[in-house]
Parts: sequence; structure tokens; C-alpha cells
Amino acid sequence: MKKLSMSLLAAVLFSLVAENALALTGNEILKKAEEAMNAPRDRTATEKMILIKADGSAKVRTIRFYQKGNDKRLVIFLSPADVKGVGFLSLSEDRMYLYLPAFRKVRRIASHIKNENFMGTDFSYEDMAETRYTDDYLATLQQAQGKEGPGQYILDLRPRPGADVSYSRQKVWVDKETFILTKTEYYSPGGKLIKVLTSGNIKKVDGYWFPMKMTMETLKTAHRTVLEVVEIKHDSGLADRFFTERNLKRQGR
Amino acid sequence: MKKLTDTIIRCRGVVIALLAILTLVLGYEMLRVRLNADFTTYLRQDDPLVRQFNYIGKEYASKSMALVLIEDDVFTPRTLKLIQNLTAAYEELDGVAYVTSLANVLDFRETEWGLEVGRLIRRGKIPQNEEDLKKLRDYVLSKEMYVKKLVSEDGKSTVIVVRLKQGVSEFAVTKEIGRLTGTIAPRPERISYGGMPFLMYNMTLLIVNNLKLLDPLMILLMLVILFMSFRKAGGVFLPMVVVSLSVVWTIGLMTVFNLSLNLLTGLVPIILIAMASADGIHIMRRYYEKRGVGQEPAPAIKETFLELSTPLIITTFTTMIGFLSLLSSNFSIIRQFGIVTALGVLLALVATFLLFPALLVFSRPKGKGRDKAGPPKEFFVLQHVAELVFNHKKAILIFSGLIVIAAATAIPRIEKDVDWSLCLQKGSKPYHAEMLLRRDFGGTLPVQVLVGGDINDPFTLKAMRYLERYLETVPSVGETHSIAGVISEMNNVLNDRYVVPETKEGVANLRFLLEGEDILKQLVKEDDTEALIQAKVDTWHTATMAEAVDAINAFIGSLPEKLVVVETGSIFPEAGEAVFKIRRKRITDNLLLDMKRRRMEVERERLGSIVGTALSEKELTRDGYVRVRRKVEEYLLSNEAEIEAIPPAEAAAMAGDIVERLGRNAGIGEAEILTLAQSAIKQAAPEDLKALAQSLEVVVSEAVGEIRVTSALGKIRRLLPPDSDRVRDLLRDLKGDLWEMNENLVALSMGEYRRLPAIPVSAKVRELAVSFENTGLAAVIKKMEEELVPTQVFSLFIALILVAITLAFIFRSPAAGITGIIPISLTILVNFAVMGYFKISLDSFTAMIASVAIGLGIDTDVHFMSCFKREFSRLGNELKALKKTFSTTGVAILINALTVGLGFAVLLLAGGQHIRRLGGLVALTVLLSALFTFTVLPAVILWIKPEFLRRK
Repeated sequence: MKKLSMSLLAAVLFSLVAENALALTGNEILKKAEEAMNAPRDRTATEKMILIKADGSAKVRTIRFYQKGNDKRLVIFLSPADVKGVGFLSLSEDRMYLYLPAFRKVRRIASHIKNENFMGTDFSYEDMAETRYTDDYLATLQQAQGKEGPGQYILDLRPRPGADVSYSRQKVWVDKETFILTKTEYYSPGGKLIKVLTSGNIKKVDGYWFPMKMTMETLKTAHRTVLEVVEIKHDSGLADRFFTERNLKRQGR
Repeated sequence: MKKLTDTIIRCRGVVIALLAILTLVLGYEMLRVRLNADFTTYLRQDDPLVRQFNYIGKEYASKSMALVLIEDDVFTPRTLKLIQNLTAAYEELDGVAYVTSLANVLDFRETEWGLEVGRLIRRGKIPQNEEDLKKLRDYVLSKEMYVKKLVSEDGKSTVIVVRLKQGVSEFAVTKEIGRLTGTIAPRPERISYGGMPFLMYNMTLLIVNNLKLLDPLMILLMLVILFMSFRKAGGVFLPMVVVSLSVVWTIGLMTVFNLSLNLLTGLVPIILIAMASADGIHIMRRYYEKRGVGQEPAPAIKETFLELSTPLIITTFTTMIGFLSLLSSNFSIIRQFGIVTALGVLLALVATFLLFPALLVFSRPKGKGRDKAGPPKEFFVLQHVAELVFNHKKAILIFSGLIVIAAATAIPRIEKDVDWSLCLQKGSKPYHAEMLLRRDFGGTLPVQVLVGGDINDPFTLKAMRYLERYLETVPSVGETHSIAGVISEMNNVLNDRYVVPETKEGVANLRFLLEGEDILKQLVKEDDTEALIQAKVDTWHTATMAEAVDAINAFIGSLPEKLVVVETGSIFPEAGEAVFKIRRKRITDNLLLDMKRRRMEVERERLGSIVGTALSEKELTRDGYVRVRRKVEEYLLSNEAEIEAIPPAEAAAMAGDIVERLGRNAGIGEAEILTLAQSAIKQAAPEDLKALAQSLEVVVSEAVGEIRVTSALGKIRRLLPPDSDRVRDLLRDLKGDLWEMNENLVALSMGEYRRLPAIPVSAKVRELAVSFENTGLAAVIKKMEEELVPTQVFSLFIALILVAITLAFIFRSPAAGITGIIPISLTILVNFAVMGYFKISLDSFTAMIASVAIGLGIDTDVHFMSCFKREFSRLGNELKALKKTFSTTGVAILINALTVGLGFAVLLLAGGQHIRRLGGLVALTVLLSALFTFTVLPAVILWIKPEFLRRK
């Protein structure tokens, strides 16, 4: 009897240890999420960008989006007609270019606009660019609460000391299966919740999970930006020379 | 009346109890009274201009602009941090639509980094070291966008502009701004507030604070006078109870009817205290006379009321007419003031009728207490005065005539000036802020021009810029701000020319960079069919403001409503000459306006000739061609060029070819460049070559344009004073004006277009309609002030006529009607004469004095006439009747005049000039009114001997 209880205790203890050893830390989950996000070598997408005001009125734009690796991104506006061809190229955090077809000019834009909103959307340049969370943030796993709990990790992200970021905190929900971020809350330097990003309709395309719909809402103005993927392609072999000023201009034709 | 008095005396317990309950209920309501300091609610809401003004408030949140002024060295980390903190705090406030400050203003600039469209000061990144701070200071102080708009020229003060939402309680929001600032600012003493919401807030507070101090002072003074006059507790106590009740009831009812205390209704308690006591004084005087001759309290009351009820009702009625005549005013606060005061007067009568009988009956019967002292002394001095008046009636009449003549000469000297800010106490912080905002920030009074049309069309924007240029030249007007200016500024940063781009795509591209920014929402309507040009007036002086508004309206009237955009390249030679002249004139006009606003004058002919030469000259100098060639070469070798890695030698050769062709043909198009490119660059995709040709055409035309403009600008600079280079943004503006000569499109007015010789259909690009409407607060105030005098004069005449009719009806004699209003008319005339001689300008407050004077003054006339008639029919002798009137009712009139007059004189101690003026002038009219009642009224009566006196 004594033997049995000892072995039972040992089994229980072992299972506890094993459980702990298998459990992921917040930083590890974040790392995995980041890897899921950056898994494709490149991504090309056509997206519908819908800007919705508090009163429900909306403006629709179409963009073509190219990304390679973590840093290189090129965005071209396809519609409406009067902004067709306006383009944005980001090569690194401090090398960003803007193309205005009406003047046929490419202009470098200052790096410190990263906390400004991108082209009237609710996404800031920083939100658009954020793919390396672990460089900037430390994550703590939070206790799952309520109905969002099952299937989701909830992480509390705080900036690493010295990180050059605009938020004092982010709270992210990570899908346990796909490691895709399903929701992000952004907090101002004063600690106030200012924006919420929700991602839905997560699909596997070319072997990678991707949210086909993202909605960013600015709470104060109740203004929302919805990004809907119309068409998406991964690993099509975009070359580095695709991400140049010359090509920014060419894509804008 | 006898029955009523009997009933009240019989049921006095019930009456007193009911009155007590009513007073408790309304007293509770009175404590809940709200303050309203929202200027726009003061205006007549159905006026088209006010409607438009409210519309702007709703659509652009630009109606109410609260300004927070920080007086400190602006470019220090401490002040910048404070601006940032306050901005963030105000942005969070309910009721605030937009906040603009150095901390969050959208800035466009070209730096070593490239193009910047972002905040002037990055969130959380305040420059800390001397060098960065100096850089920021130099940059900000060099830009018109900021100087006098957000920062003073010396960098010693800055404002945070807080735009309030339409329909919120401005009083509450301004209060909250003040409170928040107090908790955030380490040195609140360096912060003050201005702008209409704060002006109104401070004025309302001033009135309420004045009331807290002055009302008790006024009551105390009246108590002293009442006691000195009657020397009896009842004589002091009863009139004061009636006064207090009428004030409590009136203010309580205001709350019940959802009215709030504002600039004018805030004065109602004071006026009621003054007026409501009058009835009590007459009653107590008569009552003591009766008691003095041995009557018991109850019969004495009954007889007093029997004799006085008619004059009391008449005086209340006539007073109400005086105040209700204010209903004709365009200012809703004046109308509200009229109604509330009329109601208060009526309530005072009700209180008098109910309370006096109910309370006086408790007086000690004869033989007990001090009532045995006998009748109140007849004032023998007044009997002597009566004799004097009787003996010198002609002299009095002649003297009155002289007064009328003297007054008539003074009245035209009255100035109209509604400087509301003078309502602030001189030397107080709000006053200081207002003056500083005028001096350093172009004032606080907004001018807003509503623009209708396609706001995305470059020529709508160019028309807006034209009007803006003009606005800057109007005396007292400045600090213009509009989407046209913002687009020009962005074009300046991107392309080095401060001008609206000529193509729709150009405008759309630049506007795209502003998407989602607050600045856009404040300047352009959502559907892009309307925009706002904002400016400020740095004066409240009505005449100057009116001149500015008139000038703006006249200029707007001269602008074409329909424009036709034509392509200049396609109209030659048919209409070339005519269009050339139009363009030369337009560019010259723009240049002159941009110089004029900076007080620079250049001879139009000389300027026109420089512009004309620049417009017609197609050839460049040798140096010019070299510069174009360099530009083309630079482009071909840049990362932007459509063809990659063009060998330098090929680039140089191609640039040479292009410039050679340019010189030969005085111009070069895309097709020619494409041919040259095709032969110069062999292995390139045709679409890349085409794109390259398109880009090169832009490069060439910009380079040529730059050279032409620089050359013309050089000639113009020689006409300007030597130090003009240092004048902020002058050269930027002149260059922008000149740039239009490079444009291919020109907008002609429909009239100009029709007068042109026939031009090819293909030359006409499009038609567009543009409308302008001057709608800002300056225009609203100007209109209101224009209407103020006629409506006040109208209401004055209506009141006088109605009073005359009432008197004629009651005394059943037209002569009585006319006689009754003579003293009061004379009083009003003298009041205006005093205003004319002492340069007290006519404003919303002083314009009301005539109505107040009627309300207060007519009482004495009615009491005097009733008493004289009564005594005359009793004694049958004019002199005796006059003496009796003087020594009985006359005493009451005198006590009343002293009480009310001195009561209002207390207001001379008030903080705001408007209250002081009102107090002083009302005190004067009350005393004058009594004087004329004692002199002119009997003189007229004795002279014309009206029929009604002899009637029983």
C-alpha cells in the first residue's frame, strides 16, 4: 500500500514536472508567433482597405502589397483613380520612400514619422512594420480568462529597456494552433488603451496561415480601418531589386 | 380691491403659510440655477447669418475657439513638456473637438532626411539640448504657419487652441479646461485664457461674483435709507421682504422654465431689488400717514390699498411694457432679460398685494408702541419746492426746452462700440490675456469664409488663395488658414513652390498625405464640396470690425462665381493676346497683394512689365541651358530614373541633345524626348523609355520654370527695400505667385471667357462654380450691432407709445398719456446726451438703459399724477394740491429715487466696465427721472391744465 502510494506520488510529481517542461513561456510564444508571421520568404497581396468613420460612412481603396523578409515592403495604391500609383517603400526602419505620381517624384520620408498614421488609416507606420516583436518587447503569459481563453494564449507585452517603440504596452491574443495574433490591444505611453486590432478569417494559403481580414479601431474617434485580402501569394520569389526607388515608381505607373 | 384686501386680512395665516411654502419650493429651485456663458445661444437662432455660423460650428467645430495662453520662454524643455501635457489632457476632454498646439501641429518640411509630414514635435521626444532647442526655435519662428498663430514673434508666449464641439455646455468645458490646467501646470500663474468661450465665461463669472458682493451691499444701503426715511422696523422690513420674495420667485421660476443666468439675466436680481422696493415704499408711506392720523391697522391697510392699488397696478403694467419692449431685440439674451424682469415686476406686485395686508395687520394697534408718534412729518422743504415750481413753471419749461436742444446736439456724438472684452476687469488676468492675444496672436475674433465648390479642383483652391491674399491686406484682419494654404505649403516642401498645383492629380496626391488628419476635418467638409477659410480680427472695435467685414464682403462680391479653365497652349494665336493680359494682370495682382500685406508698395506698371516680359520670354540664357542640362543629367543617373545604370557618357549626351532641341524650338515635348531616348538608349523596354520620357519632360519643364521664375524674382527684388529678403516668407510667396506663369492651365471668369475671341473647343478644359460667403463671428457681431440701435430705438418708441396709451386709457385723457411720458422722455434724452458727451459708447448693455429707465421712471410719474389729481379734486386748488402731493407722495418718490439711485450707484464699484456703466447710467436716470417728475411734470400740468384733473 505504501509502495503504491509512493509510486502514485512519483507519477503525479513527474507529470507536473513534465507539464512544466512542455509549457511555453510568454517570450517563447511570442517568438513562435513572430516565426509564423515571418515564415514566408515573401508575400504579395491585393487588399481592400476600408476606412470607416464613427457615423458608418466608408471610403474604399485598393492596395497592392509586397513584402520580403522582415524589412522590405512596398505598397501601391490602385484605387481610387486620383491616388492611383501613390506608393510607399520601406527598406528598413529609417529608410522609407514615398512616390507621388502626379509629380513623378520619389521622396525619402523622415524616419520618425513611424508613430504617425499610415495614409489616413488607423495603422501607424510602426504597426505596419512590426514583425520583430521579440526585439522590442518582453512577453508575459497571462491567465486565460472568459470565453476567449480556450485556444488562445494571452500575452502582456512590455517594451524592452531602451526599445524605441510608441506603446507602453501591448496585449496580444495568440491562436494556440496557428500562432497567429488574433487580437492586439495597444496602450498609449500614459497607459490608456487606444487601439484594438482584431484579425479573423485565418486561412492557410501556400502552406502559411494568414488572417484574411484585419480591423484596426482607434477608440477615441471610433474610426476603423478594415484590410481584406482579395488575393494573396507567398514565396513567388520577389528579388531584392524589386524593392527600389525605381521599382516604386514603376509599380506606380 | 377692497374685497381682496379683506379676504387676505381674514385668511392671513393661510396666505402667509402658502407664500412660505411657495418660497421654499422656488428657493430650492433658485439654488439650482445654472450659468450660461455660451455666446452663440445669445443670438437670434433663426437669423440666416447665425444659422450659417452654427452650421460652421457643427460641420467644422470652428465656432468656439478657447485659447490657453502660456507666457514663458517657449523653447525650453519645461514649457514644451507643459504644452505637450496640456494638449494631451485637453484632447481627452468631453466636449472638445480639436486641440492644436506646437505639440501636435502637423508640420511639413524638407530636411536632410527627406520629406517630413508629421508632428512639429514628436510625441514624447522633446528636444533637450541647447542646439536642438535653438534649431526648433529658429525653424518655428521662420514660418508663417506658426508665428502669431501658435507662438508669438519673440517666442515668449504660445497658445493652445481648443475647439469646442457644437452644442456642448461651453461654460462647463471652459471650467474644466481651467481646472485641468491647474492640476497639470506647475506654474499656473503663467497661464491665462482667452477666446470667446473664456470671454463669456469670465464675464458671467464676473457678474455672478459681483452679485455676491454687490447685492448684499445694495441691500444694506437700501436698509439704511429705508430706516432713515421711516425710522420704523416695519418700514424697513416689509419692503425688503417683498423684494427678497420677488427675487427668489423669479430666479426659482427661471430654473423651472429651464432658463439660466447669463450676462444680462444675472443683473435681474439687482434691478428687482431696486424696483420691487418702490411699491413697498409708497405703501408704507401712505400706511404711516393713515396710522399717524389715528387709524387702526386694518382700516389703514384697506384704505391704503384702495387708494394705491390703481397706481400700483398701472405702474407695474407700464414697467412691464418698458421691459417687454426689449422683445424686439435680435439678441435673445436681451429678450430673455426683458421677459424675466417683466415677470419679476409682476411677481413683486403679487407679493406686495398679498404680503402687505397679511403682515401689516399684525402691527400694534393705536396707543401701543411707537406708532403713537403721530403722522410722518410733512416735508416742509418739499412744500417750498412745490411753491418754487409753481411760481417758475415757465422758466422750467424753457429750461426743459434748452435741455432737449442740448441733448439733441449730443446724441449724434454717441459712438457704437461693442467691445465685449471691456467687460473684463482692467488689470485682471483675463483682460491681460485678451490684450496679449490681440497684440501677439492676431486677436480672438474669428473671420470665416465659407467656400462652396469642388474643393479638390486646383482652381477652386487658387480662387481661395486669391481671397486669402486679400484678407491678409484688410486692416485688423490676418492669420489666414485654409486647405489651399496647406496644399501650397506642402507643394512648397515637395517642389519648392508655394502655390496650388495646377492639376487635380497634384492636389489629390498632396491631400492624400493629409488623410485622417484633424486639420483636414477643420478645413474641408467630408464630401469635398465646401471648405472654410479662417482668419482672425485683432479688434472688437465695432467700427473697425464693420469696415473689415464690409471690405471683405465687397471683395467677395467682386469675385466671379463661374470659372472656365482653358489650356493656354491651345488658344494661340486667336485669343493669345487677351489671355496674356489676363494672366499678367492676375500674377501682378497676386504679387501686389503679397507685398501689400507686408506693407510694401511697388509701382504696378513696373511690376506688370517684369511679369509681362517673363511671361512672353521663351528663351533662356546660356547659363540657364547649362542648368537645365545638369538637371536632366542628374535625373538620368539617379535611382529614380526609369532606366537603370545608364552610363554617364550616355546620360551626358542625351541631356545635351535635349537641351539643344529645347534651345532650338523654345520648348520640348514628351514625344521629342522619347525619340531622343530611343536613339540614345538601346536596350530598354519600350514602356520604360516612355515613362522615362514622361519624367524627363517634367524635369525639363520644372528646370526651365525655375529659371524663368528666379530671373523675374531677381528683377522684382531690386524694386523692394534692401532688407526684404529677411521678411518672413515674402520671397516664398512671390516665387509661388510667379510660378503660375509656368502653368498650362488658366482659369478665366465666365465674363472674361465670353469676351475672348473664339477659341478652339479643345482649349476649354472645364467650367466650375465657386462661391464665397463671409460668415464668421465678426460678421455676426457686426450684423447684430447694426441691428442693435434700430431695434432699440424701435423698442423705445413702442414702449413710450404703449405707456402713453395706457396712461391715456386709465386717466381717460390723451393729454394724460402725453404728459405722463414727458419727464421720462426727457430723462432718456439726457441719458443719451451724457453718453454722447462722456464718450460712453452704445453697446448691448447701454442700449437697454432706455427701457430700464422707462420701467423705473414711469412709476414716479404715475404716482405723482394720481396723487395730484386726487388732491386737486379734493382741495380744488392747484398750489395746495401740488404742496400736498410734494409732501406726501413726493416724499415716497424721493425716498424711492434715493434708494434705487444709490442702489444702482453701488454697481459703480463693480469690476466689469459694462456693469459700471449700466449702474452709473441707471442711477443717473432714476435721479433725473425724480427731478423731472418734481419739476417738468407739474410745470406741464399747470401749463396745459389738462381736462382729466378736474374729472372725479
